[in-house]
This record gives sequence, C-alpha cells and structure tokens, in this order.
Amino acid sequence: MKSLAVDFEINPEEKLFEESVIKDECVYADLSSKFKFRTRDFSRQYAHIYTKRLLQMKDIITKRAKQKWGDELKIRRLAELQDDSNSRCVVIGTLYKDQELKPSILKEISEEFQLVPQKKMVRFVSDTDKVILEDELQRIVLIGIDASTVVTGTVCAVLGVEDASGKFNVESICFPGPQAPSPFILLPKNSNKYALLLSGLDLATSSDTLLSLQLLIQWLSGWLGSEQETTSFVLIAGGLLRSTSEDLEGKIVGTSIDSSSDITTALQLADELFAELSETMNVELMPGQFDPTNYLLPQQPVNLRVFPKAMANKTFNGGTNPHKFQVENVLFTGSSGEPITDIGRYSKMEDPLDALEATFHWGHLAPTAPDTLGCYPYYDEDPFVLEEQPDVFFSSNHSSFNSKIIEFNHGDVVQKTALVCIPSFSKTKTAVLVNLSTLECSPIGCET
Amino acid sequence: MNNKRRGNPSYGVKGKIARNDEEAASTFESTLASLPDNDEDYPDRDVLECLGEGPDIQTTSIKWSRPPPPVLDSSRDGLIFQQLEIDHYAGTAIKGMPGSQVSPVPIIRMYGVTMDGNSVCCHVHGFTPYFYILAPEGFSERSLSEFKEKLNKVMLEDLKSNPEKVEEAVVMVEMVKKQSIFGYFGDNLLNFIKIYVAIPKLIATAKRLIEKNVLPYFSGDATQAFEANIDFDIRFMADCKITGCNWIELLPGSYTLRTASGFCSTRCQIEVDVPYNKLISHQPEGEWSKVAPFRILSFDLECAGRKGIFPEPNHDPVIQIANMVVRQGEHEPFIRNIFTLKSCAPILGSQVISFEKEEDMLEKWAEFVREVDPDLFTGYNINNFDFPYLINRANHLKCRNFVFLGRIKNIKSIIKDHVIQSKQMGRRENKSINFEGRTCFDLLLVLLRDYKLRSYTLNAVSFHFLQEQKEDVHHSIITDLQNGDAQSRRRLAVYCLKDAYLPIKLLDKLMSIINYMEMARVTGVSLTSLLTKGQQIKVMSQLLRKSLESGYLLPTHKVVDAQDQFEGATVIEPIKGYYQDPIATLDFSSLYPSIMMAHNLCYSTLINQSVINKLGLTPDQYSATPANCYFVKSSMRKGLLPQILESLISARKKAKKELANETDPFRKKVLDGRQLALKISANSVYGFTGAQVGKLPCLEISGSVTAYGRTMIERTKQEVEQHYCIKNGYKCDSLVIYGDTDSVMVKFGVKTLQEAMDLGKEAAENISAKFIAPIKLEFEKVYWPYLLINKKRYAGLYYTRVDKYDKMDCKGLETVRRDNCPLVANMMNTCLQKMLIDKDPEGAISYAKQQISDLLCNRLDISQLVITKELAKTDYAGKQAHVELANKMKKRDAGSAPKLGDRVPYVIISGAKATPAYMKAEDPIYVLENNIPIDTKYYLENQLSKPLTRIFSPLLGDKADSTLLHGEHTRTKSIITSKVGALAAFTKKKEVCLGCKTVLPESEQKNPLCHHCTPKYSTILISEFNKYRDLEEKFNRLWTQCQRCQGSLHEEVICTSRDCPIFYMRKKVQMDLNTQDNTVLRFGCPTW
Repeated sequence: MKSLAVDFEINPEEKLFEESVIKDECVYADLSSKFKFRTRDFSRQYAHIYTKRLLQMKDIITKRAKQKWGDELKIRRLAELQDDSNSRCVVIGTLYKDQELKPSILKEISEEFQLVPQKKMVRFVSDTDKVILEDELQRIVLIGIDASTVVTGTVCAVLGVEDASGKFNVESICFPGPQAPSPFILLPKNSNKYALLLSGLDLATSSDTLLSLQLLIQWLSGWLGSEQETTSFVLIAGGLLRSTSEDLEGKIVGTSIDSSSDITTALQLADELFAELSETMNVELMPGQFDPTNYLLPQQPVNLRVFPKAMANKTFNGGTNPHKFQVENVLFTGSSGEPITDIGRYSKMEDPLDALEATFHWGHLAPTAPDTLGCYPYYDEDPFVLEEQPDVFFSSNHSSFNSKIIEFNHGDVVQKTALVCIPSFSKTKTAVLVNLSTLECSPIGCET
Repeated sequence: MNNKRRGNPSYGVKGKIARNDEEAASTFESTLASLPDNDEDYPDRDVLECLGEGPDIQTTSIKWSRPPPPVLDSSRDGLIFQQLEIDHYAGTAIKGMPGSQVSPVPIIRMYGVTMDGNSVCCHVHGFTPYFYILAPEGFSERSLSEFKEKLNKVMLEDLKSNPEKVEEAVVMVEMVKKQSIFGYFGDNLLNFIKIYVAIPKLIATAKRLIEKNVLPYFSGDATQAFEANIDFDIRFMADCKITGCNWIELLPGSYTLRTASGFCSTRCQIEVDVPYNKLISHQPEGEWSKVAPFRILSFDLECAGRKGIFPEPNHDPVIQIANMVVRQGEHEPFIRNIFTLKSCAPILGSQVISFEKEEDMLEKWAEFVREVDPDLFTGYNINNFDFPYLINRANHLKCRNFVFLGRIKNIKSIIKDHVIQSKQMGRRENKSINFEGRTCFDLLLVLLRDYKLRSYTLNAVSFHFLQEQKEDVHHSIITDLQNGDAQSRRRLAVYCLKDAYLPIKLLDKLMSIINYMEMARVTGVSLTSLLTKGQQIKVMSQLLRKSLESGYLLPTHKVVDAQDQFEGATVIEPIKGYYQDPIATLDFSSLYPSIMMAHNLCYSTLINQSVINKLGLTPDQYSATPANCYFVKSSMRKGLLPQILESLISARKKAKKELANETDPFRKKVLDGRQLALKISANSVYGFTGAQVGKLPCLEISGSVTAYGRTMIERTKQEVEQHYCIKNGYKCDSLVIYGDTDSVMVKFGVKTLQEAMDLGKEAAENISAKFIAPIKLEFEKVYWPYLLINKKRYAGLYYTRVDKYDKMDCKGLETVRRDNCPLVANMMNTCLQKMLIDKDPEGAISYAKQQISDLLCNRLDISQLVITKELAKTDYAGKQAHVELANKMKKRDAGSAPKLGDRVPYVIISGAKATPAYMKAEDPIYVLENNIPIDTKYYLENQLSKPLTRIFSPLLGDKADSTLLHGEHTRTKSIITSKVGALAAFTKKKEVCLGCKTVLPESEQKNPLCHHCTPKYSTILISEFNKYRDLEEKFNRLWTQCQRCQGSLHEEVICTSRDCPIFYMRKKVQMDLNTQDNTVLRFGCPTW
C-alpha cells in the first residue's frame, strides 16, 4: 500500500474553523464554520430563526420574482392587501402548512389521549392540508397551490389575487434558489480526481457490512495504484452506528443511541477502519441522526476521542451535519439526510432526489426545521440558507442511489450542480464515486 | 382572558374527545382572514346625538343593520314571528282591548324575529293576573260583589306607597267549580273564588291579607290559596298555550301597528299591539319547529390592568372589544370587528375600528349593539365580568347613552346581584343585568350547568371540545402590548377576536342554543328562565298546563323546614373485587318515570286510609306502595304526572323516530336536542316531587318511587339468581355482584362476551315480563374486566358489541377531581388502563410502584405536581396554601403576582419538620428556577395514597397500603440541593466524575472522568449524549408546538397558560438543557 507522507504541520487551534490541507495535490477545506457552535443558549425561542430566514432571503427573492414576473408587479405586505383588494400583486413570506395529522406533543401528553395511544405513523399528509403564507406580521390562506408539493418553512414569493373570501389565489410561485454561485466557479477542475461518498455503515446493527467495506477499501487502494485517476477523499455522511429510526417491528424508536457493548465494539471497528483509510487519504466523518453527538441540527462533529487510533492522523477530520467543504475546486454541501427524509414525511415528495432538488430551488438546506425537524434556536442568523450554490449537493442515508445534474442561472452566470442521494451502505452495499471534474456521480457496488 | 375570572380553579383538560373536524388552532388568524367577506361600508363615526329616552338606532352600516322591515298593512297582512323573550310592564289601558280599562294594566311584551330576520315587539293587552281561594262554607255568588269591594278596600289601604297609582286593586272576582290537585277525594268539584287583580304583584298582597283573616269570610287556618305563587309570564304562557321560543301568528286585522303611528317604545323594527285572545300560538311541531335566523352577538373585552391588581372599572380602561355576530343556523359570523383604543394595524377578515378616547369607543360600541340589534348575547363569562365591567366603566366615564343596551328605549341596563340555589349546581352568586328583549346566553354558565369538567377556563374548554388551544396572555403583558405600537395592539386584537370567536364555535359544536330552545319548547318556559332559574320551574310549568286542561288547581305550598328525609335509592351491597369474567349489566330504562306511570303515582291520586274508608274504596281500586302510601289506580283517575310523563316519553319516541328519518343536518340537530330535552324533563319530574323547599313537594310520591325502585332491584337480583343456576341447566350459578338505583351487575359465570351478552338479553326479557308495563329491564352492556371498588365506585371496559370495546368506563374515581394534581389522575388512568384494557393487574402494580419511585427520586415532570386553586377572596378564615403563596409572590414581584380571581398554581415544597402544608406552597416556576426540592412525602401521603389504595384494594385487599406505599421501591430517594436558602451559601461546587460520581481531585477538575472510569469513555459519553439528545428533542417539539398554537412563526410565544401541560415542561427543558450542555462540554470541544 502506498503511503503518503504528510509534509507539514498544522496548529490544532486553527483547525477548529477553516483550514486548508494540501496533500498530494488534494485541496481540502472545511467551510462549515457557521454550523459550529461557540456557545449555546436554550433560553431562546424559534421565532428568530424564521425572522432571519425571511430577512436573509428577502432581497434575493425580490430579485428572482422581478426576473420571473417583470418589474411592474407590485410587491405588497399582507397588511396592505385589505386597502386595495382584487388587484394582482406579489406577496413574500414563509409558508406554513397546516396538517391535521402532524404529530403533536400536546396531544401525546394530554391525559385524555393517554387512554388511546396515538397511531404511529410514518407519513403525515392528508387531503385537508392547508397552505398558509406568513409575512412579517400576518397570515393568509393560499389556494390554487398543491399543498403536497411544498413544506412548512419555505420562503417564497406568490403572485395572485386576494379573493372575496379573504384567501389568496395563487397564480404562480417563485422560490429564491441559491443566493450566489460557487466561489470556485471560475477555477479549473482537476480531471482525474475522485471523491468517494459513503453513508449508513450501521456498524452497530448490521453484521455483514464489514466484509463489503473491507472489499471497498481493498478496491480503493488497488485503484489508487493506477496513476491516472486518484481518489484522495472519502466522506462518511452519517449513520456510522445506526441510520434508521425503525426497530425490527417497524416501530419508531426514540432519539437514544444504543449504548450497549455492541456500540463499544462498533466504535473500535470504526476506529481501525478510519485509521487505515486516513493513512492514505482524507477522511471526513459527518454525524447522522443516531450518531453519538447532539441531536438538533446542526449536529456537531463526533468527539474524535472515541477514535483514539484514527485521531492520530491529521487526515481524519470530524465534520458537522449539515456540512459544507471544498475538495479540489469543488464545493460540497449537504446533510446526512434528515431534512430530505422529513420533507418526505410531510409532503408527497417521497423520492429523495425530488426533495433534494426542491430544497435546492427553495434555497434552503432544511426548511422544515424547526417545525418538524429539530434545530438549534438560532438568534442572529439562519445558517441553513443556501448562500453559495454547491457543485455537489448531497443527502445521505437513503434507500437507493440516485443522481442528476442540473443547471441554475444566476443571471450573469450559469452553474452546474450535481444532486446526489447517497445510499445507505449497509442496505445497498453501494458507495458513490464523484468525478471532480465532470461532477458525474456513479455508484460502486461491493456486494460480497 | 387573563385579567378576569374564568371559571373555577383547575388545570389540565379532561374528558372525552370531540371528533376532530375542527380547524387546528394554529390557523386562527388565517381562518379569520378567510371567513366570508364583509364588504361593508365602514360606518363613519358621527358625533352622538342624544335623545330624551335613550338614543335611537342609527343606521351606519348596511352590514350591521337588520334587513329593512316589510311595509305592513295590519288590515291585510298577517305577522308571524318566533318569540324569544317575554316580559311585562304596567302600562296604560288602551281602548278596545279586553281586560280592565282602569290604568295601570299589566301589558305583556313578546320579542321575536320573523323568518326574514326582522325584529318584532308585540305588546299583548288584556291578560289579567289572578289566583284562587277555596270558597269558605256558605260563600255564594251573592257574596261576590261585597267580597270584591271589601278586598279592594283593604288592599288599597295596605298599599302605602303606590308607585303605579293603582286605583282599583281587585279587577274582578268570580266563582268557579274546580278541584285541588292534591289528593283524591272522589270526583266532586268544589267552589273556588277566582280573584283578578290589577297588576301581578298584588296577588301576593291579596293572598297575604286574606290569610291574615282581615276579611270576615274566612276564619282559622282553613284559608287556602291556589296558584298564587305562579310567575305572571308563566301564567300567561300557560293560559295562552305559548311555549318557550314558539311561533306566534297575528292574523290581519287583529293587531295595530305602532311603527306607523310613531309611538314606538322599543328599538324593534316592527312593533304591534294585540289583544291577548287574538294571538295564535303554534305548537312547535311540524313546520312550526323551524327556527328563525336570530342574531347572536359574541364579544370579549380586554382591559389594561395595573400591576398586581384585579382590574377595577373605576381605574382601569377598557382597551379593546372584539365582536362577532352570527345568524342562527349559520356557522361563521357575518360581522367581525374589533373596537380598539388607540390605533391598531389592520387584520385580514375583520374590521378594525380605532378610537383615541375610551368614552367614544364605549359609546360607539353601544351604538353598534343597538344597530346590530342582537337577540342573544354570548361570550365567555360576559354575565359576571364583561357586561358589569363595561357598564360600570361607562358609568364611571359618564357615557350617558352607553347603558341603553336593551330594546326598550327608556330602560337602562342595570346590574343586580342574583343568587341561584339548585341541587344541580349548588349555590351560585351571579350578576343579573336587564336587556329587555335580548337574552344573555353566557357560555360559561351553560357549561357550568351542563358539563362536568376539570377546568372551565376558555382555554381548557376549547381544547376539550374543539381540540383547539388558545394563547393565554398574562395580564401584565396585556398592558405592555397596549402601550406598544399599532402592531403590538394588533397582536392583542387577534387574541381578543379569538376569545370572541371561540364561544360561537363552541355553541355551534355543542348545539347549546338549539338544545336550550328545544328544552324551552318542551317544558313551556322561556329561554331566559332556563338559564337563570333551577330545574323546578320546568316541571311547574308543565304541571300548570296539564292541570289547567284537566280542571285542577295547584295549591300554593308554604315553604316549611325540611322534614324527615325519606329513604333514598338502595344499592345492593357490592361484592368488591377484580372480575376477569364478563359482567353483564341490566338496566331499567327511565326507571323513575316508568314507576310513576306504572303505579299511577300523582298528587291527584294520593289517598290515605281515611279517604279509603270514607269513599269505601276496594283494594282493587287502589294500590299500596312499599312506602306505605296509597294511590288510586288509573281506572279510578288517571294521574297528571303519569300523563305528563307519557306525553314526554311518547314525544321522545316520536322525536327519535323523526331523527332517524331526517336527512337535513340542521333539522337533525334540532330533533336530537329535543329528544334530549324530553329525557331530562322526564327525569326531573321525580326530583320535583321530592324537593322539600320546592313549589309543590309530595314525599308520598317521591318516597314511593324510590321504595318501588328498591324492591325492583331486589326482585331482579332474586329472579336472576334463582333462574340462572346450574340447577336449571345453566353452566354456572349466576351472582348479582352489585346493584345501584336502576341497574344490576350480574356475573353469569360464563367466560366469553358472547355468552354473557346472550344471557343478559334473555334475562332482561324474562324479567321485564314480570313487571308492570311500562317498566322495562334492558340489557345494555357488558363490563369485562370489571373492577368493583365500592358503592358507586367502579371501573370497567364497556362492551356493547362482541368485537370491540366502546370505552373505559369509570365511576366515582379520582379522574376528574379538580383539587388533585394531574399526577393522581394520570396515574389512576394508566393503572386502570393496564388493569382493564391490557388485563395486566401486575403491570398496573409495578407501574404504580415505578411512579412512586420516580416521585421520590424527583424524576417526575413538575407539571404533574401542580395543584391549582382560585384566589377567590383574600380573607379566608383558615390559612390556605394558595393565599399564603399569593402574598409571598406579591412581595417578590407585585406585577406578576396572582390577583383576586386568578387561579394560583403551586407545588408543595419540603420544609422543616412540622411546617404546616399551607406554608410550603411555592410557585412552580420559582421552584424550577431555583431547584427547590419538592415535598414528595406530601404528594405520596396526601395526594396519592387514598385513591391508589382504593383502586388496588380489590386486587391486594388490606395489603394495598403496605405494598404500594411502603415497599422496597420507596427506599431510594434523591435529594436536591436548593439554590436558595440558608445552606446554599455554604456549599461549594466541586466537579464529580460523570461515571461514578466521585469528587474529582483538585488537579483533575477539568476532566470529565476519574481514572477508573476513563476506559469507559465512549460508553459514558454516549449515555450523557443520550440525555442531552432527549432534552433537545423535547425542547424542539415543545416550542414548535407553542408556535403552532399561537399561529405565528415570526413572533415570539408570549402565552403563559398554566392550564397547558406544556407550560412548565418547556421551562424545565430549557433549564435542563443548559445544565446538560455544561456536562457534555466537559468531554471537551467536540472536534478535538
């Protein structure tokens, strides 16, 4: 096995935030500083994150709405509608979807409901779902919009007329999309470099994963030997120990991470694996919903002290979830799948790739947070707003691989993005190889 | 609303769940916005003009006013309306009308609405008040005129002050042949003197004077007055066959129109005069069971209180009044507006009318009320808070025209105190305010009357019936919001509008108005008296009508002190236990009414031994009851009460049949309301005869009814046990394990539901045949399993079908008691659920032990331990926990401290030994913030112990107490150190190892673990993270729930509803998270 020398030293304190590692011509930078906590304060409420989200997206959506519908249409606040109804106008606000089936902690803890256990459900969509638009001050019910295609928390502009019943009849809808193109858009892409994306190793629950994983590593190192094409970056995007929320009987299991001895064994396995991998390449570990770190998004990097061997290698790095980083001149952004799965539960976008594409156009990594997806009560910003268009936009821990390349027009520049759903490795024995020049994603099967 | 009294102290919500076909709470604002539009012309705010007799209606908005009235020609057009309110006044006699021509004469006013929605006031003339006196021996027709003169003379002398200027007190006297309803004395009629007097209140005067024997005709105690205690309105309605809320028709030519002549005394659109004998009253059947589109105004006010003081109308301004007006039969209000003091940002779907001066706002609101001309007022606690407050405030600000809220131009609305005493509701002090022609239908009073709830706050009630939570804004915040800007006032306005909207939704959901109207129609009394009076008036009204038909007179009962109590319903001594076999229940349907009918029990059939002897009755002509009373059989004379009951029960059957055939949902509601009203009315007849302070008690009847009931229960037990036994070829010997009032619980010994149901049905039929019709034993349900704790205390899983249970039925258990903490109810529920639904008594025991252990180890959520009491007055005789706490809190912060009328939530904290419990009450939020230890022993011994041992005694017997309350699981306790208090100052915090809790040496304070635990680094890290993650998830779910409930994403949650189970949890989770965050951080910065 080829051993790669690390020919420089980094100051660990700098590594906390952003860093640049040049190693064997592999450029890597962790750009996730906005997802990392300095301090945490839970005396805040969730109103602020919504307010900031709307504020951060207001300019861009105003711009996009004008691009789409022309300059002459009036953009109004809901409070102004009443003065002058029946005229076509644009309203900007946050969507709220009123769903009867949405689980409610209130119902669960109220005494009367204890008699009849609430039905455990996986999807909460019904025909009676209503879409409501809320601007800074008021709400209005939207009609003429398919409730199953949007989710709570999305910021959008709607064009339409307030009808006689006080509802807003939507003619057309406009989403902000990413705010700006990738900063690396003009830099050249390296033609023979690849990145490997993995998720859902399920080391604690799945016994046959390990063999396939060994196979993958062998294949990787063998392939590495060839001179033209190299893979020098591996992302493990969540689900290290357990990636599903269902136990054997299909019941939803709570937030807890199993702390039995299996876990300790699994962690040791993982440690050895990472130690081996990080000998030869950059290894990035993102936590997933059930990995040993906090629960609310953004999840903080897993404490590397549980990987005593691997942590010795500087090439082994813990990332946040969601994550944003640079490999070569390619900007990666994505999550371990929670936002996408959550959208699937509350809308008809069951195909993760559709939901992933939707979040891209909505310009937001996790719109359903905090309503149905836990996130930290941010006070001064919404870090999940998609500020820079990624080159690779990923979501992991899905049941199958899927990918496509889309283009987005920023007005002055058009940028390509590869959308990729990374499958759960334990279920599919498949990893994803990304060509860092064409952004093409291909599945690598390692069935034993 | 927070700054006012909202029902009784309590927390949590309890009861069965309404079907969830309602809008979720989160969308109130959008709901509001999407309501049908009011394309109103906004009224301009004119300067008020003032008329001598109170202001006229000003039409300022087409939307507000009623539709214009038709142009009537009284000679050609008839007038048909549904009357809703009836009152009377002393007025001038009008020529051509029947009755006395000498003023003053009583004139009856009927207010109502036509099918087109026009308001009508109908002055009815010529109906004269009267009563009867049993004619003394030797009194004849010839004595009449002399008698009249003498009576008139003494009465006029007696009228010292004579405000009505009565000139002729006795209008007329006549002799009639009638008989008293009380007792059977054969069919001979007796002579009665019927005395007509000028105005209703003179009846009492005349009766008093006659009884004092001031007239020569009467002597001794023999004088007996009849029907002298009947309200004039009821008298009029009974005589003219008018029932509550029925339709009245005036034929062309029978009435004169006032509207044309300009002498209108009311604000109604159509005002007419009519002689009483020309009224056509339609019985509420067929076409005439329809309902007019009357207008219901629901409103709510906010006032800006001062810190820590219950708002007083002499100091604290009214800042907002939200109004919703709905037409009966429609679901959504067609007028929605809010009157605000100072500017308020616009609200979609409702009109905002802002004022700079409070006086203008109040005057304008009163104008609005007069213009809308509602038939019914509703709201939450408007009767005892909103209306009195508005009126007092308006008087304080000298708003001259405000108080003219009724329909009579020159009558002001005045607040009076009013005490109502009834068995159903106990003693209640209410305010009563007159709004001539309008009914005040306060939803809170309706709920207090008709529903037994754990909490009566609007919040709890809406959650209970509509599954809708509403925000509860603390009163200290209300003033801040008002003092903010147009946006903050808008926020308050949305909240206020919701409080006005919810009563309308609730009334619609509960069909209260329809049900009350049907009750009024069935029993013949007006809507108002149903709300303001007890049960008796309903029976009295029916009895009066029936005796009028049959020629009986009701004696005027003199209220005497309670006599001996008769024996109540018996129960068959329960054989306590936990039954795992199906227990069939046999019920007598409408037991008491059927007994009265079967045995012809009535006032008019009551006899005694001397009558039997005198009339020579043979035993086949009368029956002796088990209470040793005698009644003649129906072959001799059919009793009135049985007749009333028969008509009620057959009317109920008819209504049920119509209900089954009806397809229109609104008509269905009406019919369902009717059958319910009929059922309640039938059952209240028995109570009427037993009410010793009532209008006409007759213990012979009520005593006989219960005695019959007892024997029937005993008999049923005998029959069942004799017939269903091994001897007669059945599988097992049956056993009646319990019997109560009208039902018996039978253990047939069979193991399956099907067998139990078959035997139950068979037994019901067999035994019914042995009783006199219409008494009928019915098989209704099987309990399986069944937990029989004691008399009137049991629980079971209720089956009416074999495949699935209907519900868990609990009687007499601490699941709805208001003075317990939620822990008790929750534990009881879960234990019962485990015992009954899971059929796992062992599980129930271990659950109870686990909970007790959690309690002792401080692992329970604090909201489970909160006890709530209303601060009704500050000068309680004994020391009370919540009063002491309120005082304590006032010292800490007068602004947020509870005020008079608020509900004070508290927990009991541990204190020094022998500290009385009232000293140990503490504010739950304070407890959370300062980590104060709870007095777990208090909760175990004073709250949990009794109810728990009770439900477990059938399982564990005498050991229940020792097993549950003193077992192994009670040994471990954890003690928290408070952040406040004497000791806190001396403790120094030292870090301990997260693994084994040993104190870390000085040099290792920064490490999370000690040397021994370091190898288990990962495991301990994961377990600490698990705690953290649970808290994080909870934090997220709780706070997003509050956002949904308040209906806004962009605004901070300001709700402080302590009824809501989330309130304490969300506070606790914030504190716990910050603590756990520090713990997790000890593992070091996550990346390295």
